[in-house]
Amino acid sequence: MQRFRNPFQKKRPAPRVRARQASPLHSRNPFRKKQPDPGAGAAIGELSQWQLIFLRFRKHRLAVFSFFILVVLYLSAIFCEFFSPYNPGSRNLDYMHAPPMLPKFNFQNGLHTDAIRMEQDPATFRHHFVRSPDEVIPLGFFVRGEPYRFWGLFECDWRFFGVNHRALARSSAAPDAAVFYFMGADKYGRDIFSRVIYGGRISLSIGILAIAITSILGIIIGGISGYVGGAVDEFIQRSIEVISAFPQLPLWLALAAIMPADWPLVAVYLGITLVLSLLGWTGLARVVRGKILSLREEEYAVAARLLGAGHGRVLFRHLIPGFTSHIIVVLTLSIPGMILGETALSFLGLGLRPPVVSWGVMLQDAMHLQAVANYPWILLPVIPIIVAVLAFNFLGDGLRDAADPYGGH
Amino acid sequence: MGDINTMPESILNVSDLKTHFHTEEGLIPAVDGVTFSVSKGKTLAIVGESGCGKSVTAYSLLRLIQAPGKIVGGQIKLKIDDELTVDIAELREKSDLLYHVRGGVISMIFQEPMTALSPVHTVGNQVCEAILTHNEVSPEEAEKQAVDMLRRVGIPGPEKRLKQYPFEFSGGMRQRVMIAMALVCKPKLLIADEPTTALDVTVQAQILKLIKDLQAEMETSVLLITHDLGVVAQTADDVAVMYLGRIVEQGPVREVLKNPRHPYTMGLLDSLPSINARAERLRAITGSVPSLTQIPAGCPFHPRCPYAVGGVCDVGHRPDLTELGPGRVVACVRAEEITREQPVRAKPAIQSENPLPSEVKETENGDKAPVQPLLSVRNLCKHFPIRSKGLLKRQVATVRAVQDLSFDLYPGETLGIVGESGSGKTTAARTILRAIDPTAGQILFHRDGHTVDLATQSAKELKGLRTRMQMIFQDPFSSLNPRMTVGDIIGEPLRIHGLAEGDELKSRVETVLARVGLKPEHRVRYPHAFSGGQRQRIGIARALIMNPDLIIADEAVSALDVSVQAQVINLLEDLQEEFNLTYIFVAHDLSVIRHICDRIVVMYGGKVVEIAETETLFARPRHPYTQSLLAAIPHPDPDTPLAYNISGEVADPSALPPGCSFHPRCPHAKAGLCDIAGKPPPLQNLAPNHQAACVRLEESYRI
Repeated sequence: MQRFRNPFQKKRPAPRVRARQASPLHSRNPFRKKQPDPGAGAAIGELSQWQLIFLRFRKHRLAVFSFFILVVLYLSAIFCEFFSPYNPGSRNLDYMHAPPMLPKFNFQNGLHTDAIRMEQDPATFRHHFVRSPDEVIPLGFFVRGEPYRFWGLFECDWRFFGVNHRALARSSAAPDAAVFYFMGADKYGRDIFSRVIYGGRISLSIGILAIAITSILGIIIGGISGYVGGAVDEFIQRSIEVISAFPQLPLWLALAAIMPADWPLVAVYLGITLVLSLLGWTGLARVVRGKILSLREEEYAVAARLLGAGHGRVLFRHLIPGFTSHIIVVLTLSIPGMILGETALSFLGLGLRPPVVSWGVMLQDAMHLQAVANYPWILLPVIPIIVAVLAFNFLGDGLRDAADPYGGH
Repeated sequence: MGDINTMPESILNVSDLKTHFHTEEGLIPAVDGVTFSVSKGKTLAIVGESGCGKSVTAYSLLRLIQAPGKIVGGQIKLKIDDELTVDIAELREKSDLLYHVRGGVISMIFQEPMTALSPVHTVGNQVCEAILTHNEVSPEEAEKQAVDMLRRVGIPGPEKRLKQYPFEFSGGMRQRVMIAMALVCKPKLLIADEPTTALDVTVQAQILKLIKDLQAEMETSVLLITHDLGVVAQTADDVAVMYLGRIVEQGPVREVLKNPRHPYTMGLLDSLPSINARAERLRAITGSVPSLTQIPAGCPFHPRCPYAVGGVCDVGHRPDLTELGPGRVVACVRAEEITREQPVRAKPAIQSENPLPSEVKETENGDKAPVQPLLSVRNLCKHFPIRSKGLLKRQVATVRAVQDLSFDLYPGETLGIVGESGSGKTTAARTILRAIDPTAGQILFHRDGHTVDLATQSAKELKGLRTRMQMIFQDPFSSLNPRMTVGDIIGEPLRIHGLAEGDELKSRVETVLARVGLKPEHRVRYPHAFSGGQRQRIGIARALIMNPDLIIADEAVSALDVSVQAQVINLLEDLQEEFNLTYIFVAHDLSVIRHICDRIVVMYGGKVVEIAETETLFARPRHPYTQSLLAAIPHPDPDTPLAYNISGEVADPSALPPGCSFHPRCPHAKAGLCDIAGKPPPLQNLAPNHQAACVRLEESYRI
């Protein structure tokens, strides 16, 4: 399972005693540490740390691309009622295990899809679906579909994408039941695509929420450990070692099993978040402690103390701004672990339970080998998981390279 | 120098070598048309400040340049034996011949002995590997050769040391191992890239002597890359001075150093503190080495050159090398017209016989005698416990970083604290300012008729005193918070103490910026926009803004290039005069100390071994350690040879030798006298203002 990694471990050169020796001479490419020219550097010289980070981040194409992918994912999760063609719970028993229906385009019918119809094999009694290319289901953007309550606030029936019922009414080749299941349907005839979008709301938010709790715990405990030092540091470090010595998955399972089965869904959701964060903070605490320990010895921190600065000023003006960018990177890189953790717990049936829709819950259907063999599209919720995890990793990589604009420039 | 008619054959001929780097900032011509040759058994030194292309030249010779760098032109003709001469620039990457050349014909010593050896293999393994790669011998034979080589580089008990790992070796010993590895295959050419820069001065003297001895013995040619003109003078036969990717002056070492013809060479020599008489301003080169992406038109040195003439030096292409004599070239269009302004030669450090002019001494003493000291340090100790790794954290040893340090510091004077690494000088400086809490002793600070003991002040009481004393740090890169603007950094002390804000703060910051030689508009920039020397000026401005009485400069110039170092030293001296500052100057570089300090404290193993006024100390050093230290300074005059009389390395402060800490290295030590446990020699008064701690002072003096 996931662990916090310290993404800076191999990146940071060991501090050197005499700066002249840290000069380009021992690196084979002497231009990596080139000092900017003060005359020409007027523009770049007035940029703050965050502006420099942004400038460098922009050059990391993959990370910028991943950032936009994540924006799309999170936007669709926030406005999932609007972006999903159907409500996650609405069933259509005529389309149980319907295969994915791909949108098509031609000039005669515009954007459309072929209708499918369930048939039963007379010999084996097995259901299967056949395409009927004569029957055309027109599709469109900004169409009216099933009514829903947007954020539980007001009634609405506008959908971003779906069956264009108005065109359908005009059409001659229309089938009697017009459905569009982009990723197919599950065993109850529910639209997998809509459920993936709804599932994102849970799965993606749980990652952010768990990371928020983790970071609060990690920064406070790690900060105390690093700044106070001594016996307190000793105690915290030994506790962290004990906590991280527990095998993670069984502990998650045990903690998740403690939650009573009759808890309301919201409580279960928060409970899972807490379970994930309670085990995740240790790595972050160590990173924070290490960072504070090393920054405390930086000469500018010593200089501030010699200028007469108090603890508060040293900590908040000199130490904490020194590692916020690193913390952001560490957190970005650990969100995927949280998402995967939720998915794993829910998949095993110990996390969220139906009727809550999350990617892990959806994958419970894929537990049976036979189901996967017959209806492989029930595995499709894996795709957003992979996309989200990869995007977070790439974004974290890009941030890591950009986060230390004063390092190996 | 030999007869010109019997010029030794050259084994390496580099002609018009060009190594360029294609980076985002544009093309960087790091080496741009360099021509030189290395003769058999001779040493060619390449000198220049950082960013001038010395190391890139060295790496190019071994084809170790990595992307985005590339050798884009020129030849590197290497004579492998009488029949075979290869052009290294033409060799295919990964060809057998190239691998044979690397290590077999040319080998290299790197700057950092700490990182150049693999920590996971034994030293024997690494030396044997070098032998086995290039020679067809049995492992047993290789081991024999390795033992032999380690013995020749002066490693005692080589059979046993062979089985040890690099961490069991000290810095100097590791550099010896590196040399053994480099020479074990009997290379024709040894490239030494700043081989002694990371070492203490006494160890440097040992290593330089070792390289010279082995070179004579094995007839190896040496290409020495260094920034230190002293090292050049002591080791090289010929010297090439590089500036911005090209050689600007080249010739036999005596001629170049004694009669430099290029203004850059003159400037480098004039920047050296040891050449200038004390109390005189250093004639520093102005400005700093520009970026290779913005090479000035015409002669690239003209913006910094005192002899530059408009319309001649700043137009056209870079001046070509013109021949002045056999093997003597210079790239300056005005080389014929200019001469160095009366070269000021100070007396060489240790040979000086004539005593100090007595009137000077008297007036200084007369000035000081009635004055109350600003700071009196009494019996200051700082011990660091070493704790065991286990759960219990028992104290297993003590690092006695500073022991029994006592001295007085008078207003307006500059006191130098000097010693090798690990001698406790930095700890002493930081303890005096209470960056570290002392273990014992008093730090009495006298001000306005009051005396406070800094050692016992609480954090709150200290805060008020912080306005009176400040520190300048060694590393101009880590001592400024990269996330604050220069204005915020310099103004921080005023904010902390609530002394000024708003427009007043701004104007005070601008005043002090102008005073240290920066522009007021630099206030809004961040430290990353400044060069090392400019950052050090920012650090000085921060220390200065509260008008302190005392400034402690901890190796404040040791990280800077020699020309910039001279500028900063001049600035510090000007400021002292203007604001009546009192300095404690901590440094390992004796020539800097000699130039700037009135009195000097020499430390060894955490203890003071000698205190004296600067002239006295350099003219008549009494403690054997001081004598060795002075003798080990490589003087930038080839006719002042390195007097080498000390072996071993700095004592480990966690396991100091009993008695006098220096006795294991001391040429005058006597068993049963110097090594009695619990009886360290006390400081004895030798003359007013001169004390030394040695029990054999009478015998050891000037042997």
